[in-house]
Amino acid sequence: MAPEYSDQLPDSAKHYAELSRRARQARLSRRNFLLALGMQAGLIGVASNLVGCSQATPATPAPATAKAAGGKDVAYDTSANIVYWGEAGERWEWPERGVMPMFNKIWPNIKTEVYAGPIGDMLPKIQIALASKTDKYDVISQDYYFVPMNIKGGQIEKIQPYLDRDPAWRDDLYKDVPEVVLDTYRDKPAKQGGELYGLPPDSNSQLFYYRKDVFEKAGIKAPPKTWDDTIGVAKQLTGGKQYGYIATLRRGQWAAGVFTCLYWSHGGIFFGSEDWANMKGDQWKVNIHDDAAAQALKVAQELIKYAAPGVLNAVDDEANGLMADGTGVMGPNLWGGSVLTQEKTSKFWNVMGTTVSPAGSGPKGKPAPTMGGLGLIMPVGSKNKEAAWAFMKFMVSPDVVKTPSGEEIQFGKAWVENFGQPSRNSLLQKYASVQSYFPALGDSLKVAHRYWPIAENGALMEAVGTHFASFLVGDIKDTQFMDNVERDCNDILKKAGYFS
Amino acid sequence: MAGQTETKPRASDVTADGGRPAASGRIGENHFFRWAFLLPTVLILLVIAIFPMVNSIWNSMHWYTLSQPDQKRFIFLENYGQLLFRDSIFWDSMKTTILYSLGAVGLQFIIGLAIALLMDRRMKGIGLLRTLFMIPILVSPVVSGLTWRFMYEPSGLINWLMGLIHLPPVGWISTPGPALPAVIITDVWQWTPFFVLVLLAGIQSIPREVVEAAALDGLSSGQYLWKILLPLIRPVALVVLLIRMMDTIRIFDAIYILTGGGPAKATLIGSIYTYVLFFKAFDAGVASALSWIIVILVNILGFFLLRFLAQESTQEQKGLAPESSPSA
Repeated sequence: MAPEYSDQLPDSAKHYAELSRRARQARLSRRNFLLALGMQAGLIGVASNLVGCSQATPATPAPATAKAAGGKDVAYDTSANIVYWGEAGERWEWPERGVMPMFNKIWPNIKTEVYAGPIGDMLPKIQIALASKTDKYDVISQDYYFVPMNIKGGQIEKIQPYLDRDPAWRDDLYKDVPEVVLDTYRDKPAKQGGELYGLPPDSNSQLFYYRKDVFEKAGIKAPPKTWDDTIGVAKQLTGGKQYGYIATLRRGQWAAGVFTCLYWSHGGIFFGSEDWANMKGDQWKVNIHDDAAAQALKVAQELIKYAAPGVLNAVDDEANGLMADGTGVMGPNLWGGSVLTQEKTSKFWNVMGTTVSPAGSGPKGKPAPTMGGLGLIMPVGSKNKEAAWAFMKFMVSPDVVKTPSGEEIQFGKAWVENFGQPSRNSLLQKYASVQSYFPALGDSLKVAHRYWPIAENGALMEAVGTHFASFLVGDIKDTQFMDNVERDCNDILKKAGYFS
Repeated sequence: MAGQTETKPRASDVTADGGRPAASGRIGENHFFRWAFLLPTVLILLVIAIFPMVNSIWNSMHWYTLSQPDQKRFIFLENYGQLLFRDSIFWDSMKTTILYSLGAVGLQFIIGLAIALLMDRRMKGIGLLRTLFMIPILVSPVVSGLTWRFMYEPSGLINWLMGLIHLPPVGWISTPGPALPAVIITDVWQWTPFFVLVLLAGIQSIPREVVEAAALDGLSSGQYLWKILLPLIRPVALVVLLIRMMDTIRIFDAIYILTGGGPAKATLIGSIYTYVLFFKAFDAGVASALSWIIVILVNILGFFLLRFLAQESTQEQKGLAPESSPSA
């Protein structure tokens, strides 16, 4: 009989062979498995609680018990740590950081932790965080076109009750910020009794950017007022390495913004009505087989002939780059911003003109640039709502703010000098010498058209922008564009229950 | 050893495969730690791999948008139906995905094989050259995407070089025609070295006697390539083709950085369309359905390639390889 394998091993090895044998024989009882699972879950629970405790922030008192500063609003001795999540860079993070010392002067015990990230990646992340009803953030800077989604999903706090505590400040805000801008943060328009869910420290709209020196040289006395004239000017200015048309035409929401501007300016309304609060059933059906769409597509098709290489896949970085380096000399509906009018970022900053985007032709024609802008919202999960409100309100301050000791703080100046783009008309006017495009932005906001105030906005814009880009490159014809947009948008709206 | 009870293993504990005992169903009480140590891995796998996969199948059968996650409702296969029968963008993206995959992998194979043949020789500095050749693989796809994007820009390096020979500038990644070839070139630049690496190993594993016999028989270079080399490296080539096909079908990062899927739909491959549906349109249901369609596509492709590979291997084992194959 052959010896067993362990008999052939030295003593020390036998021990390990035995251990190994026992291990191979091992079976797990249900009791031991559950015990192990329970122990690990317990350990994880204890560990996460320890981590959670170490990060806990003191909660501010509920609104009812908050001592009103000057009998009106958040007490100056309010103590809290708040977390603010905003977009990085100029226009958002820089002005906010610029005025933060002033905020701390008024509310010394409210500590603000700022998370800033690139806007392109941040907006979807914000939406995912809000959809999960996060309690990690107290204030978030959100693109206005997501706000209807946040309101419908019950993801953000209604701030109207907070605002109403200080009627004088509220009325000044209503007077100074265009209603069309404030409406983008309401559940329905103010005229229909809508209430605010966000406050806009920032505002934006598409603007007409043009090179004054090139226009002058070409004998063009003023920027064109209609899209038809714009085509003529684009043609006239295109030649050699110079191009007469710059736009942000990347597939998706960028291209959609260009189409909506053209469409609205030719009198299009996309849905059966624009009476958002009272629309029912088939009025929600998208129907763009109309003259406005045909005209808009015709203008786009003409303008694209004079577009610089790069325009068809451009977002604002590329489009601004093409204007800043002199490749392009006219962008009739570029997104507003200071990149083209400041010395550090544009070769032609001092000859860059800005005005309102052109009107469509025909009896319904009007200037209707697509509106932009970001506002501050308070997630429902915030544990520091009083302090969050103090922060939100401060960021939309007027030009001069008083500290508890009566000292006057130049809020507007700090905001604008740090490249902020305020929503208050008074600031846009006062600081026109700091940012030359402010008057054009103020004028544009008076006529700008907002994205549709519905939760499905993003999905609709993707559909419109994808088909519009396909039309521009010649993949589809105008009627196919209209068919595709109607089919895709109505699919989205039908599934969301707008009509059956 | 003191205090240790000597226990001889029983013959029934040792099995024919070298020792692992057959499952007996007995419950042992002394091996709690064995499972306790195993459990974290199982739990992590469940949480980060199995649960998301199962959950995404579930999501793909729901109307589920991030605007109203609470209103999620079961619609069975409607999302799949929408993609397959009503969404023209989906079919365009599938077409682009296949074109991209075939173009990139095809070019990588041809160029990779050519370079591997050139490198299959003894010469001074060949080791250094082979090492240098591998550098693109080490570059992160995001870095590679950004670098190529700068080079492709209207005022970038490539147009500048073209300008030197009086060629007009081209909108490489901003006009639909050249956009797809441009992103394919980027992938070819980055991943051809992988083909070189694997194919070179395959070439160098061909027995010396076979090569010498071919030379003695007076085979031309073409004959050697078609009748000796390619049949012998076919298993290796199929594996590398399979890996890269799967990679290119699910690629995201480099194209997202380079073109964002544009201009228009020129580079809108399936994975980017999934991203758009989820992160731009916030439609988690349709995005999940699309991601599963891509998984199925990759699996079908993998299945056929692996089956082909298995058939080759079986044929060789049975000595049924084609006459042209020297292994027959």
